[in-house]
Amino acid sequence: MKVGGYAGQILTIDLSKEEVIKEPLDLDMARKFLGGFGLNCKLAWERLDPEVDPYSPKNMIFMGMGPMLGTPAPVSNKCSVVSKWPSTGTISPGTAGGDFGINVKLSGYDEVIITGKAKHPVYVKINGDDVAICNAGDLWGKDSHETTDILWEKHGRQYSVIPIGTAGECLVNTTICMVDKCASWGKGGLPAIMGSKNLKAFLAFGNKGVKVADPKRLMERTKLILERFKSRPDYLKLMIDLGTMDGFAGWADIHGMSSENYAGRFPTEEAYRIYSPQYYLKNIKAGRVSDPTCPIGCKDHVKIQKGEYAGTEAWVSSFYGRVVHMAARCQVGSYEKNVKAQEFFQRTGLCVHSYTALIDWAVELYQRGILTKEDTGGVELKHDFDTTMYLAEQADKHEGLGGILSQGYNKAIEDIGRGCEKYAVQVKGMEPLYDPRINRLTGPEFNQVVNPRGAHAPQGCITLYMSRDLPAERYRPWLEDRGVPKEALKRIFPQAGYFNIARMTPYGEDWVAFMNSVGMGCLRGRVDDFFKGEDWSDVYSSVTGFETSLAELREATRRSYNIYKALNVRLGFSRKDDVFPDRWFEPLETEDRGTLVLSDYFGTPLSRKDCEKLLDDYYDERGWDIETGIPTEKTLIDSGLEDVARDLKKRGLLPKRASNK
Amino acid sequence: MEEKALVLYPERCTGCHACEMVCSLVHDGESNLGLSRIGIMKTNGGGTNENIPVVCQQCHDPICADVCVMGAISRDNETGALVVKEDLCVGCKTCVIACPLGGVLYHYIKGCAMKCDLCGGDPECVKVCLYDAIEFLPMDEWGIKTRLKGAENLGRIFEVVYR
Repeated sequence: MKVGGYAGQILTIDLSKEEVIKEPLDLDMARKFLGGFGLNCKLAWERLDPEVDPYSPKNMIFMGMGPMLGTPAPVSNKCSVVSKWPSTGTISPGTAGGDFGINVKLSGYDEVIITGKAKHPVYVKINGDDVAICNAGDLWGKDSHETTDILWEKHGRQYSVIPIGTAGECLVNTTICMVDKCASWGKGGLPAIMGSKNLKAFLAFGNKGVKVADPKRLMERTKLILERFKSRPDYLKLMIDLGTMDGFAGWADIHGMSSENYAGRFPTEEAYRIYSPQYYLKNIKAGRVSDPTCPIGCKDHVKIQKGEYAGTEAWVSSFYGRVVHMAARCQVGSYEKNVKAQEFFQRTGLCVHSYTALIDWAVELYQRGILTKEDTGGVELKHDFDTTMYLAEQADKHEGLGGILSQGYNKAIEDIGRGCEKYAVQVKGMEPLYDPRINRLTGPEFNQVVNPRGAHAPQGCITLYMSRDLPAERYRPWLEDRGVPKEALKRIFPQAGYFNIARMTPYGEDWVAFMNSVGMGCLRGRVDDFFKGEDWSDVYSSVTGFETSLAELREATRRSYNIYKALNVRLGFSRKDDVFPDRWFEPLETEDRGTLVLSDYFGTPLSRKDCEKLLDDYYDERGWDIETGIPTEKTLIDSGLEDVARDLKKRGLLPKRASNK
Repeated sequence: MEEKALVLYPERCTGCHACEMVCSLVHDGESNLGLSRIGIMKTNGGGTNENIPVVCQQCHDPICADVCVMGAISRDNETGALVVKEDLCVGCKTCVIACPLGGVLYHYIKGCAMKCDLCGGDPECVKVCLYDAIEFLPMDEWGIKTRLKGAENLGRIFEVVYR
């Protein structure tokens, strides 16, 4: 049988021994865990010492290129990374678009594993069979963009480059990697892990090709999917014009973004005054960037047109999200300052999502007198551009208060002390993106609490945007189409006009995990609305040659999600860590929307007790023990993870009895 | 035969590589940017206006065919495409060197010249480009389109000057 999609090799690079090892991919294992996210988790389970310090040479970076990567199937572009993160101490994934994943795949590798620590700064260059560990002495101290430019100059622009910025070099863990200056990878400290290994950058250019088992069938399905996009020229026009800024009204008006460290909502009028789409089109936008084979090029090329920062340019993924954080959490005050700050974060490697939340928290601590000028180096902390840049510059050098904050909530709470944790809105040491008092408790908000990675929503939320104005039944066809079993649907929709978000979320999480496993981008509704469940089984089957049904793909994903959970159970994580932040139960006073309280999708207020009940439902739906939030022995065995069950049992971590109904 | 060619619009290309992957898949049965007859050459961050699509323009007086001593490149009268006869090609690469547009490449697996054959008159790359960065146009129509584009640019200049 002709096998496609899978390149058939695992590449391990041991930086300590300066060794490059290639081993064949076990195809049975690949089918069981699909690839990407799933295969990363499986390999991490087998090869990564759970007790390892994230900065130890023994920590590993698992990079997975799912079977779809490098093929023409629409949106086949997401590679996944799993490691033990310094910010949260979890073993969890991050995903990225950009050209890196396809070039590793086109070089002939499904997985790249990095271990060890180089004696001096190095970069890893992958070009088909030729894999080299190169001296990066002259790159150390250069920022992300400079490093990328130097490596393009040296090796050619056809290479995809993932550098670490200057912050990563000094082990700042609220950092993220840039892929070719644009896509982002590894929130929570991938640059710091690379920095601890003296690894300045990855480069990849593939020349070997990816086999497709049934090209004709793949092309037929691809054209069918593309026809659905082509039938919506208005939508394509909107996306090429605005990219992710098409969501402006969503964050500025319909929902809104939290500010004042989750104690306020950024005023709608202010958002329209500074950040309108018209202003963006005229003064900010320079071009549109696409991930491989994505019909929606949603990434941004932005360039400041006027003022003090004229000429500053950046390439940004999920631009609107980053604009929002700079706008609402840091209140930088102008679109130009917003982009300038983003550019600085990109060059240093600071993560806009993570570090802006820590800045916001620090400002509140200062306002409350918990932090004083003694801590800040004599500077008054405010919600403004100057404070943002001051703390970011300190973070980049890992010094002063900025340096303390840049180590993420877990470490910063220890270092600052003085009861500061009371004002830290975080789950497992990671900042939430969404405030459920503003957005109500829908998939993304709920996922922030239960995601083993920490308060990270996109990894596991339902791929539909959950606009509160739509009726409950709106979500049923999506779930049906994506192969959610009938019995589960009955539990999700127990009565007309209502759904239980805790029981719905696992299926959204699984779906995103599936996409990250096979290597498909999602961007939720923007792309997902154009797909049907059957597309995925057809694409997977025609690419790989393994005829696989949607139900089988779901089963494989559930297996992957269970092993992902088990990885973290082994580290001691359990229900005690899935905690709704206290602040969410306080009323949110807004300037323009009155008082908002935590409520479900339908507007019914939720108490902590209600939320605990939702957690019960979530674990139950997952087949995990309600008391501990840990997968039961039966669930693990049913998903074909006997070895995982045995291991957890040996460690005394399996629930004593199944408390599930 | 009406003269047609692939018309390229760098300002529309988002750099998604779909055309390259489809091209290599339909011609060689595998997805491989190195074997694609069309190439998206990226500069900087790879956005619109930074990506340059490169493909054979099916020259009216083709240099590649002129320099081929084996007579391995000739025009297909039905499609208008300049096609490599692989059994005649000896892999000397003179055509690759001669083409100023980067339209001819060397097929490093087959060991012969490789170039766009317009997929027998119905180019696949065009079908997967959702932002019309590649169009397959009769040359008279392209003339009008080029003028329209010029008019748009001029219009923008006037807007700037007289606003």
